[in-house]
Amino acid sequence: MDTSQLLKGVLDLAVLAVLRKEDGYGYDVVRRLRAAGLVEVGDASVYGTLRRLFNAGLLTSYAVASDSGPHRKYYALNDLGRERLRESTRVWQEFAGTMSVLTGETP
Amino acid sequence: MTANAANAANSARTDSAAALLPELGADYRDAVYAALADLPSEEIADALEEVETNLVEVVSELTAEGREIGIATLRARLGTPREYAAEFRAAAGYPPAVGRSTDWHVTPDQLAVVALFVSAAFALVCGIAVIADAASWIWGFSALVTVVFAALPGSWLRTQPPSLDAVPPSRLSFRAPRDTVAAGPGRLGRPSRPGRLSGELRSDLVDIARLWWVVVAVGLGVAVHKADGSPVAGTVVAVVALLPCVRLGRRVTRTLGRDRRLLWLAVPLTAFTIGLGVGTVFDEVRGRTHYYEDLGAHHVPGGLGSGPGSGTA
Repeated sequence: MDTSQLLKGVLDLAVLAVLRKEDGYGYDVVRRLRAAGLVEVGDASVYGTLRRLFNAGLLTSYAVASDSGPHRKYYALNDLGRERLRESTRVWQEFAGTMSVLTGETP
Repeated sequence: MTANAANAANSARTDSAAALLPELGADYRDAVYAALADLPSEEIADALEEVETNLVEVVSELTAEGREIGIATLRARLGTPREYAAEFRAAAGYPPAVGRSTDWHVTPDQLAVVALFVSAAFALVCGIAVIADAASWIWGFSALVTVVFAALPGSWLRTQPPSLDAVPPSRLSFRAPRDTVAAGPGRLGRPSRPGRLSGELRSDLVDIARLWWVVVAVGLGVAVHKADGSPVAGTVVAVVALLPCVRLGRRVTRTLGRDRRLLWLAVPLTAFTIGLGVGTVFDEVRGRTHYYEDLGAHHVPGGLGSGPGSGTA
């Protein structure tokens, strides 16, 4: 199965979930997603998703100076983002549960 | 890139970020910028800043891993600039590129490839025309077109680094960097094994390639002999061309995987030599046809009904 197509549908949720515990900048989010097992996620997809979630008002951002390069733009969940995360998590768990039941019925 | 995009890009680019990107990284960034130049003006500065920051992080990571920052590593890691830009655009929910159709967008690299094909086609015609004793303007014009279409892109390419976008068909947006995928449990650091020809077969092919470039040199001599009528001039050209041709073939073989600029010299020469071969065959067939026609005209003055098997009545 082409997991990249599955990933497209849940990348928003994955990014919000990564930012739930700790704020992060773009490449930090990429690293955390890959470390969590989403090894197929592309850099541009994550950076683009962060821009979209920010523009949708789900994230706030702030700049932090970096010793190793240009300043980093950190993203953080705001109340709207946390609400979206809860709702998306609920939808995902229902969907995943349905699929688990469905695939469990097949021999 | 539009003026607005360029200004926004410049404002987004910090000096420290620009300094951290090596030349190829900067080329990659500029190519991505160009592909995103039509983004809404209120978005472009932030978007390009994100792109630059991403590139700086990737380059830093690759450098820390001790890997050379080259076209191959950037493409393997991020895809081509156009793929990267398309992936970013789609994920960010930006509108599709405007002002040009993606299907009809032609890059200088693609134009150079078209010029290579045109040059090779006319080189083939030139070779055939020379051997077939066609009118001098035919092979002269063909030779002129061959040289122009090979020289212009060739001279432009000499000033460019190997292409960033000249890659096989694109992969899906959510691509798996090879190094990341390979780093699963128990597979960490195991190098990939590209398909390779067996040593003996590879050696045979190299020998054949060397022989081919000797044939090219001889072909040039034959062409001069046919065009000039002087066997001495032809021999001199063949001898003089021998070493450069063999060296050209060797360099093309060595650098084909990473730098294809010499193809704009090697392919037209190869096509020309093939044209000489085709012209020779064509000339031979035409000569035989004329021979049999002449033979028929002398032996069968009455035309039909005189051939073998016709006298059985």
